[in-house]
Amino acid sequence: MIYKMKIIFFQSVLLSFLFHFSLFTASAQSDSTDTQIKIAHLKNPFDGLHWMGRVNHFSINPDSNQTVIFTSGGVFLNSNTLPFSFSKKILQSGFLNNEIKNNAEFYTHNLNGAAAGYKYGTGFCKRGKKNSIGLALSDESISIINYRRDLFNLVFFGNAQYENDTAYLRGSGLANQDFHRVRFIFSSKSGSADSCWQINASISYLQGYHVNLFNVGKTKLYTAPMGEYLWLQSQFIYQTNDTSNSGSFAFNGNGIAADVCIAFPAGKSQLMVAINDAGFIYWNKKSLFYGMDTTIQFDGIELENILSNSGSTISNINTDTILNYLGVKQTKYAFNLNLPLRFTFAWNRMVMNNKIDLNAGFSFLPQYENFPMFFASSTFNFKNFYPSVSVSYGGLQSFNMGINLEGKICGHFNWMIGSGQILSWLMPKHLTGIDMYSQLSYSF
Amino acid sequence: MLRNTKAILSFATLSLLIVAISCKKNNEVRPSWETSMLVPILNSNLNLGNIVGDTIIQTNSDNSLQLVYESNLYSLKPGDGAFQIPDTIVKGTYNLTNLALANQAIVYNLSLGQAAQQMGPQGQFIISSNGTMASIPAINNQSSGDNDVNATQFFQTAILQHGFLDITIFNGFPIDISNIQFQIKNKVSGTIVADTFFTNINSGSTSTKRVDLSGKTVEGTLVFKIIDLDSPGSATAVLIDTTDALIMTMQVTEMVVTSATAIFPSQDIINQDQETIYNLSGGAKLKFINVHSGKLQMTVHSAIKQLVHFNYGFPGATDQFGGSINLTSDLPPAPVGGLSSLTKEYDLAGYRLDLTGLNHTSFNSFVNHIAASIDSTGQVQTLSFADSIYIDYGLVDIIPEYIEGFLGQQILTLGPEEVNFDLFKNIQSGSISLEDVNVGIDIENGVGVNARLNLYELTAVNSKKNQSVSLTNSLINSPQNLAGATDPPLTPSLLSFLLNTSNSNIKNLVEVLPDKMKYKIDLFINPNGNTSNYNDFAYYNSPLNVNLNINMPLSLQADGLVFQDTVAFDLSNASAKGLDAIKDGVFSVFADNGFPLQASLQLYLYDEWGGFLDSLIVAPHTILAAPLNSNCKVSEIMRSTLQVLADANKMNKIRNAKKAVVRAVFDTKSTTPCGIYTKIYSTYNLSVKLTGRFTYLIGQ
Repeated sequence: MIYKMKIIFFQSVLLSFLFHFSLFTASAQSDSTDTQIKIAHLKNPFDGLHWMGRVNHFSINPDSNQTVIFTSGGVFLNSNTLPFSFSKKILQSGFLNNEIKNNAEFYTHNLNGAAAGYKYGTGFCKRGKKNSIGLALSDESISIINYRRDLFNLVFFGNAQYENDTAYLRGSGLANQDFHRVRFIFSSKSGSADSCWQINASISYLQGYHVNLFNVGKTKLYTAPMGEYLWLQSQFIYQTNDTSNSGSFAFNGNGIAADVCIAFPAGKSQLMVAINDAGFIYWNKKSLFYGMDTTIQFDGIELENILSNSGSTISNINTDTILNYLGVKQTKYAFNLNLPLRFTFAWNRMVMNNKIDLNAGFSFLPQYENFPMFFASSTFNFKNFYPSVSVSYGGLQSFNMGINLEGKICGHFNWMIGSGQILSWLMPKHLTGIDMYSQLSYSF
Repeated sequence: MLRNTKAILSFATLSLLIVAISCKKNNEVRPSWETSMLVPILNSNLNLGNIVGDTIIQTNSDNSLQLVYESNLYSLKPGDGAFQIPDTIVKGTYNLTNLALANQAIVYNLSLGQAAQQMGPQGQFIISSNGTMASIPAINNQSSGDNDVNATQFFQTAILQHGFLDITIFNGFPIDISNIQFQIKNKVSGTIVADTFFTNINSGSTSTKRVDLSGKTVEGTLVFKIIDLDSPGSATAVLIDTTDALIMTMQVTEMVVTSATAIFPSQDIINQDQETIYNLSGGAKLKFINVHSGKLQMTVHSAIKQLVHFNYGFPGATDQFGGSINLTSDLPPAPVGGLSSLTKEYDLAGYRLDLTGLNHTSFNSFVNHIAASIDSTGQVQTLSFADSIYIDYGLVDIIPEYIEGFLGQQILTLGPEEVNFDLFKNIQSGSISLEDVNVGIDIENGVGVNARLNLYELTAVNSKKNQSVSLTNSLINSPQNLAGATDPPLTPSLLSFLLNTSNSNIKNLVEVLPDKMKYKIDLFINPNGNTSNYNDFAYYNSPLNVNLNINMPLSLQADGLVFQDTVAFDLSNASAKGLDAIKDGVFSVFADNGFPLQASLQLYLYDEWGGFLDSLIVAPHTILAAPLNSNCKVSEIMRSTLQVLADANKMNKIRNAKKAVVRAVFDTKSTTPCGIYTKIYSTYNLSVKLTGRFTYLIGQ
């Protein structure tokens, strides 16, 4: 069965590669024969502002100069080591058996990563011939986890396998922020239709309501033979928002973020460079800080008299007593936490008499990713229907394929639904990550 | 337009749907997985103090240990036995014996015209001569009709226990009166209140007579009548003015009523001192008590249909600032046919009670001052002699901090009585043999009285084995005189007797591993009477104690000595899901034994109803004794490892356990080169560590 799945996986990779290679070849050939080729351009004021999906795509009737209102949402869960079968169980609150856990693959000595999040919101855009403005409101969550194999093993397999051995946890961490965003958007075009420069920019106010920041420093755990003692050298900080004020409209943090995307022609193609989420949230001074920098040998809970014990010592073991025992210091103070800064570079070209729109490029989170995520996609421009397929690899995910379906209804509605990692559904034990997004807009 | 509306509605619906789906993010989702944990759970160091309980371990110069244990057999202090202050409630009924009415005066005028109208032709002459000078003829046997006198503004009726009616007549007629007799009677009942006469009242003069009203009933409406009026008339012409009048003033004074429906004035209805003498055991006569704890209790009932101001004073009780107790409270009017009540309790802790009475020459005397008063009723109210105030008051639960006086002459027979003996409380069974033992019987008299003590019996009782051994020693049945403590400074007297293996069978008493001591003692207080001249004393914190002081070197031979205790064993809080998180596992017990004693350790699990569930450790569960070197000392620690396989079934029992019985059985090794007794040193220690390798479920 596993063998069959592997065959299917490699067949998919091969087919995808061949498909896109043929399209790129076709585009090279058509360049010399078709003089009516359009220069691809950013369709919308939101393009490149990292709104939806892997390639910063946003769906609004590209030919419309009208006011548009829209709503959209999406979720993602990516990892470079954890197979989708693992992620799916996490999402389903299911039971992770050993087979699922054993499918995780690790880069020895490197930090492994995972990211998860969601975004949903609504807004409007007033479009003009040259300049457009927009406003969008959204609720967003982003969580990025870095972990060593040893941390994964300790959490999901326990410490018994480290008997008379040491687990190294240094560098592991979690950054999770939940916030509402009010985004002001400005878009401007210049040049002719064949040589169009476009800049899309936005600035956002962020109302943070929930944060978890966990950073593990020089930390290792030694388990003595027969578990006679645990030796923990621990250095970590954990910061979170004011837990007494944890509603989704709690003003626990305030922040600002900027996005900018510039698209310009390059021959018959177009290049796009984008920087997204350049900003931070200032979490207020009621935020909680837990810190520990100590070395502990734990020999078990100490009973004064095993022959005559009230039992209260054992009964009272709980999170607080453990934190006290570990000497975790708790205090309150404000801190800043950056959003995950993203760089995106994309090449775009129309081929086959403008019937196919080719995209390729990479996207990179330098703070969390070891290397960028590369992608390529092809969009087929039928009348009122624009399906596309994509392939991607790198970043916090493994190889995957995606499908994006987009279209127009009744001349006013634009819809879009898609996933950049749809192949994971077919090969959950081998591929990592899953995402899904949708959008509906109405042009007046 | 319709198309646009539909579109907007569709758009709004979808927006709501997305928001609704997104809101589900707040629902906590918790995936689960199993981990294999290997962790230390508990560790404990077991030293001798843990084993033998509440003892004092002393270390000798060679690091060997000495067990010193003190047990109190008997303690006598104020509040106990001989020096008890009994609860005494004094009951008092206070009638309204002095219920007074205010003095009242009624003035009645009888004008010459009014009198003349009732005098026939003579009267007509007087009336016709009004304003002229004329001579008035003699008047004989004239009487008046009934004239109402209204006193209802003062009372409606009153039965007088005591009182007077002072009748004053001013003769305003122009003629002298040789005789006047008149009568005052109740209008309704017709009973005569006063029937009196005056003689020779000259014109313009005044005469007064007093009528005793004791025992009479007076109504608010009276009838006044002149029975006989005689006058010699005027010899010469006098100015006749028919407005001239006899002015009769009727004043009631000093009225004390048996019952009255009247407006009562404000007045004290009770005001008296009350002295109560306590009868204390043994003829004790106390001068002072400093109260450690106790209270003054008081319940007052009132049958008076009027608000009563109540005051209770305890002048003999003073606090540290010299203030005395003075309780004031109001008793509401009694309901018809019922009583109103007031309950007061006063904490006397810290008060000094002077028991020398009003004249400071008595003993055991408890002086109180009780007062009650009413305000003016303001309106007509019925009160009677039978209306009473019932007062119950007294001292309750008095524990003295200090008492002074003569504490009485009495013999206290104490026992046969058993007291707990905790030295071996954790030992369930087995036996020991001790190399040596010394026991002191110390009698410490912290009370300022002479006494004589006779110990009839001292028996060590092992109730678990149903064994007992009685002491044989010359102290038994031999009365011992005890001097009293002296103060100041407080110095108890001490009498000690040493029991050892050469003068008694005390070793046998200890080796029976008693959990109780049985004794019988006679204590004769003040055997020679009041030799201190009322200067005996006792402090709460300075009792008369009879103590057993055990002192024995820890050199023993133990055979199957079982220590056992019940401990709470509820691990339900050990994780968010309690022990449900632990599926199965292997628990390991590491015992590093530094004692030259072999031990077997077991834990028995019981549910909340006391039902036995399981034994935690499967045999073998022996902790080996540490070996002794040539100096008969432990030179190296002996490690023993016990393993407990806890499968799902056993884990289920552990989960359900609420209590556990820890049972340890100790035996001394047979160490012939070192003798039969094993000596215990302060450096000996047993370290026990429990670790677990188990499957732990995370999440869910």
